Amino acid sequence: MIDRRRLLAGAGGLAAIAVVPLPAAATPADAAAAITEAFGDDRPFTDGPIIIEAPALAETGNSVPITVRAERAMDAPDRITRMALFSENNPRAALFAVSFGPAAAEAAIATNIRLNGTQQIICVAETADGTLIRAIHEIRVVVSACTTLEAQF
Amino acid sequence: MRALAVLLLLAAPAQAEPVSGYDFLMPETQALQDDDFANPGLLWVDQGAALWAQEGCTGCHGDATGSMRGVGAHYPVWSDERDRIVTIDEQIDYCRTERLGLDPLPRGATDMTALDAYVMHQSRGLPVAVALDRPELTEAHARGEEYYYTPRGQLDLACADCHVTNEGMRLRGEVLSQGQANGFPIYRQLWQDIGSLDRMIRWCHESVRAAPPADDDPVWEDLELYLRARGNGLPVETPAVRR
Amino acid sequence: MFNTRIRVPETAAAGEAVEIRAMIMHPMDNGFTYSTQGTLIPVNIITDFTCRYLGEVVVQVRLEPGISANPIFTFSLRATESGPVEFEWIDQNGDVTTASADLTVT
Ligand code: HEC
Ligand code: HEC
Repeated sequence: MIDRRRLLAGAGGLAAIAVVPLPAAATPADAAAAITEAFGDDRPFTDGPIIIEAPALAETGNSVPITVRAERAMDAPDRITRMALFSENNPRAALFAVSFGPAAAEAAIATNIRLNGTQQIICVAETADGTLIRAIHEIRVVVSACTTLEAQF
Repeated sequence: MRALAVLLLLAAPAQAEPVSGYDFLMPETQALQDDDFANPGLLWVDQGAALWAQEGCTGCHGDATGSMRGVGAHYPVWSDERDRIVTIDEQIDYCRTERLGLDPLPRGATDMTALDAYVMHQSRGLPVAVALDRPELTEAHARGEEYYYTPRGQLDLACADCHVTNEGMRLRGEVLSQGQANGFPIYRQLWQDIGSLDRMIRWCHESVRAAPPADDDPVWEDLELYLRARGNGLPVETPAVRR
Repeated sequence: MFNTRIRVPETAAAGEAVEIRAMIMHPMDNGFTYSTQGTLIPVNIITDFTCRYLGEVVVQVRLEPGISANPIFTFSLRATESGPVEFEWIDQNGDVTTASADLTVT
């Protein structure tokens, strides 16, 4: 049987080959600042029909499938016009922002995001009458995007 | 044919049934591979399809969906004319240079990987069926196997130490698979990119801090033959998605 | 121009919600990765994606480096009449990639 330490050193992903400083992770405060930048700080958050769908446990932080969806009709006066996603632990808090135009059938979009480890994802949505809705979702990540960066050759 | 199969079985060292890397993935990653739109490897399959037309492969081979069906599943093969083992990449580049007068593509070039992915994709779902039916092939296979079982690098590990002895073991979130080659080129989430078998083998060398063989070392062909034949019977998955 | 894949159904009934998918080949270099030579790979991303149907916006997305390589978006539009569904991606240098498909509404 071969020595487990040696194996770990190997499959652990080459940290010794290129020793690189890891980027500083964002904090919940950075996420809050990014939210303020996008939506201002003069409106309270309310609860609302925003659903974040993502695997409870993601295999790799390099690509985590995520869907954000508002369960509210697009012809309602308080329909969702804009949504933005924020990370509490990535080097940059802002992940993406989406505006829904008149041709959208619903306020919903799916994509793949990078996550630097287990963390909370925050979705802020803005309605046509100016209210803000916030939803929070925790995602656990097996291998985070940023600790494997140096193994990308 | 049957007698040959029995002989081959007897000759091979006792080995576990081949299991695809797919079976070592979590469900979302499997779902991404199975998604005929969203599998990112299909971007390179599309690029390969465009090159197939642009570079003039159509002139001799016509529509690849018919003419290339099943071809990739048999590679590498022995070529009498060239008196050597020929991998699928080498066959493609041979047609490009000798028959179309194009400049050869370096190993790992994106266009090469795209053509490889396009040709291999035509065999998706068919069983890998590499023949070891002549001495040149069995000898090369034996050399490939020897390489596979030889420890190397600062960590002094053989391919087999990870992919045979420790199959299924978890290492910092990685799960060691059998290291099968039935999905190549693969879209690897770690790379956020497509990668040929060549790129994977280089990565595994780096992981034990060993230098990969020189580009012109014939052991590349021996090792590819060994790796692909190890997966005989597994379905071709190109483009597979891996962690 | 980068390679793209789009999925728009050929036909839809008036009033139907139609699923649309769009993907582009792009590394989305986030500025935190190093090359084999150990040099930092600078940020290189697609910054904007827009889908329009009959000239009207369906979705408009602002992308950050936290979007995975080869960005893909899935969303839906409300079919009203036959016409083009147009896609546009803009990278950080202002280079534009476009694609389009026709939707026939019955
Ligand atoms: C230190 C452990 C280690 C060693 C030694 C090692 N590999 Fe790997 N190999 C990995 C890891 C980790 C992966 C990615 C996860 C998996 O599929 O096991 C991998 C994946 C592979 C794959 C892709 C599997 C798939 O499903 O797509 C192939 C092929 C492969 N290795 C071949 C080799 C060869 C050839 C050698 C010897 C030159 C080798 N490996 C040595 C760790 C190792
Ligand atoms: C001038 C005609 C010609 C053109 C053009 C051509 N090929 Fe070929 N190709 C052949 C012939 C003849 C063979 C038979 C095997 C041999 O002698 O190499 C072949 C064999 C192959 C095979 C292996 C088929 C098998 O059953 O083993 C592949 C794969 C292939 N070609 C790919 C390509 C690609 C990719 C291109 C375009 C870049 C291309 N070919 C362009 C003539 C051509």
